[in-house]
Amino acid sequence: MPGHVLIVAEKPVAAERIAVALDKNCEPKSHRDGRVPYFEAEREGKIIVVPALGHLYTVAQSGGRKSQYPVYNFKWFPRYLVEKGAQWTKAWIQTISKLALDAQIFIDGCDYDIEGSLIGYNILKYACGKADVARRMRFSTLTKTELQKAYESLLPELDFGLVEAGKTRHEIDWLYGINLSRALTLSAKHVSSRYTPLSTGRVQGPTLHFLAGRDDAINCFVPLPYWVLKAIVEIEGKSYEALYEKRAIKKKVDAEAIIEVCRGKPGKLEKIVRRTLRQEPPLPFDFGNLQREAYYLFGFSPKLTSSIAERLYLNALISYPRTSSQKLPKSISHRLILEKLSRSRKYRPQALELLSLDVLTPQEGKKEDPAHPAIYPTGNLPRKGLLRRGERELWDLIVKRFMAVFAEAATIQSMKIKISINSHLFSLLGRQILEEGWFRFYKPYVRFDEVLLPDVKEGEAVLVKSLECEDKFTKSPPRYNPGSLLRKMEKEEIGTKSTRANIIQTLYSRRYIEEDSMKVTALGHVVTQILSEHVPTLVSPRLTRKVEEQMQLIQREPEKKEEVLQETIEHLRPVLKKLKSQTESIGRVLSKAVKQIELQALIIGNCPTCKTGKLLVVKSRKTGKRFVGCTNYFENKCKTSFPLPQRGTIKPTRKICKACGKPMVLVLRSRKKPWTLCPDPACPKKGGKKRVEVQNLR
Amino acid sequence: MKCKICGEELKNEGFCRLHAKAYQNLLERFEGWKKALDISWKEYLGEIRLSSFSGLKVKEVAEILLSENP
Repeated sequence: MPGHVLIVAEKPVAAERIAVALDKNCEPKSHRDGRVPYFEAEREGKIIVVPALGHLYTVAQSGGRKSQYPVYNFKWFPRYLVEKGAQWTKAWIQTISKLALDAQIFIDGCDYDIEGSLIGYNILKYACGKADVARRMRFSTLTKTELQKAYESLLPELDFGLVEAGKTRHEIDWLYGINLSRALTLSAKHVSSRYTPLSTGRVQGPTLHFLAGRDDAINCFVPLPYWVLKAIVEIEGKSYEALYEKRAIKKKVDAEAIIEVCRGKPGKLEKIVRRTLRQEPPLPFDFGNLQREAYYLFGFSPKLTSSIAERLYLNALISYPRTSSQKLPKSISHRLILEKLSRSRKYRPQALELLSLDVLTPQEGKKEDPAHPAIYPTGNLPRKGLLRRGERELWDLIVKRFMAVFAEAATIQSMKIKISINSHLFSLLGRQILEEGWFRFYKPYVRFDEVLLPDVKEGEAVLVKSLECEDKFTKSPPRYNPGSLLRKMEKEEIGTKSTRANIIQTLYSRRYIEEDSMKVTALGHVVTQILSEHVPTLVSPRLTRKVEEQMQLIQREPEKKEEVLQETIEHLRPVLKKLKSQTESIGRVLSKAVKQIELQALIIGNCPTCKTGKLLVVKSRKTGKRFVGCTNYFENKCKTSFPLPQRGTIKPTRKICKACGKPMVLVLRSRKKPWTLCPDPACPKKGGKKRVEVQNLR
Repeated sequence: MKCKICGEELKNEGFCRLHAKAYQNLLERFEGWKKALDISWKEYLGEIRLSSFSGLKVKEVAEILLSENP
């Protein structure tokens, strides 16, 4: 294949799309070199499109022992040389190098953002040796027209600003991550002689710190009592609940006194206040906003939304999702997208309605992204059966949001009816849609409940059926959920739109947080406490915000990179020295917390027999078999025990068997469906025979 | 010396960092409860111990304060 063009794409699906778009007959030849696919297109010469599979190169320590810190010497390596599970990258790099041999023109066709630019740069530099002469394709969607346009108007060189910023971010993160994670892991190992991977980093640290801070605020919360007064009134034969004008009364005697003076007195409609409000259309989706909306509407975790959006992008159904823009520029051709969408029966009425407008002006937010516009549907319709559950919902949400941003504002009427009872004011609140506007385009995702009130006149008498005084207490701040944590991370500017979801996942996998409510475990608390004490700058969002600013600077002035890296090392040096001098004490608290969460993972619930012990998964020293036993056994107080399956992993479910009240366990076995089990063989659910057998045995 | 509730390292008033914070919050909020319900310190601790709105650490501190001065 002499003199061909070599395009490096970020993923196989993207490579195929690029090849299809660029081939003159839209039918590129598909090849495979071992497990690595690549595509051959014909367009005034041969074009080979070869995919990467995310990062093929990574930062790692260059020389020295792997089990020590501090380490400041690093290099970029092929991942297969430094990561255990990355052997597959070897074949990938070899294929790309082979295809580069006879290539004449080199093009980076990865996604146009920091990570994409870095993936392409590393491959072109290390696998092809041509980063200095390579050109860049710039696109936001994988549609045929945009890819063709991007190929026709290539940028003359790689986007070195983005590349250097990406490299520096990886290197800074490596410096913080490797040194502080090793400090934690080695301290724990020093005391317990056991290896438990513990990690922290520039983004992980402050994120865990937020969660731990909220956990502390909840655990140390003292409620305050207050009272809420309600009058149940009857208007036109229907009952309504009117609230006292002062929402919270802080003294019980005051609340009781008001009830006393109002009791048995008639009510009068004192005043009716009507206000008309405009509710503007929503903003186009940026990545964080899409993740939050998908969490609230469908319960998708940010990571799930991220991977679904990625698949929709690779199928050319939506634009590049990892964007922070809230703008929909005219260049994306709003009208054309709506025309394409109108081919779908589902969206036709709304799309045609928008197309009938003389001018299409989207509602836009302030946020901008130099590389990509806000997320929008490309107008391509999915083939039947292409989209799975989840993908269908997210695509529908993106399409409807796109249409809603072009629609009129909704008009809402709010109504407040003030009722006087013995000169004390109670009010009824209502709201009603006057004109649906964009609500029609965003159904069923609109969150608006109408509260309709009767049509009444001032001065009318009202029947007061009863008066109520409700005891209330102030509540602790709510726990974070994936949606609110993402919002917090965005607000504090920690992490990037692409990394936030993964960071949350890492906190789970390191056992720093647990359950959907993101409760911080004992280990999570200890780690954040150690960091707050020894590296307070790491847990503060200020550091990560500063790094993001430095990235912006490097994008403009790539030569500042060395300065920024040196600053990082100078910051770390004294911190690591201090951590090393306290290995013993840090190790002690860490290994205690590790033991505690390991024990916690074995507890399946409370013992129903002795009521004070906990049921635990234990392994018999004699037989090596595992079973459920009560913690009070060792004090000779309780002998409750149940057998367990010997294969697979056992996990507590925190659920109680409905038939016998014993805590249930989850059995996970490879290639088998997870199985929830009541460990008691005498459980009535398991049938009489077994029960009788067990009773006989006893 | 260790925290009298959890055995962690001592910070303040015989409590670890978190229990000391809970104790501090208990002291600060007493005035509000006294005004609202006209109750004594002991009655207040009893309410806090039983309330489902109280934080876990606060309940533990209320419990130990009550057991120390029954």
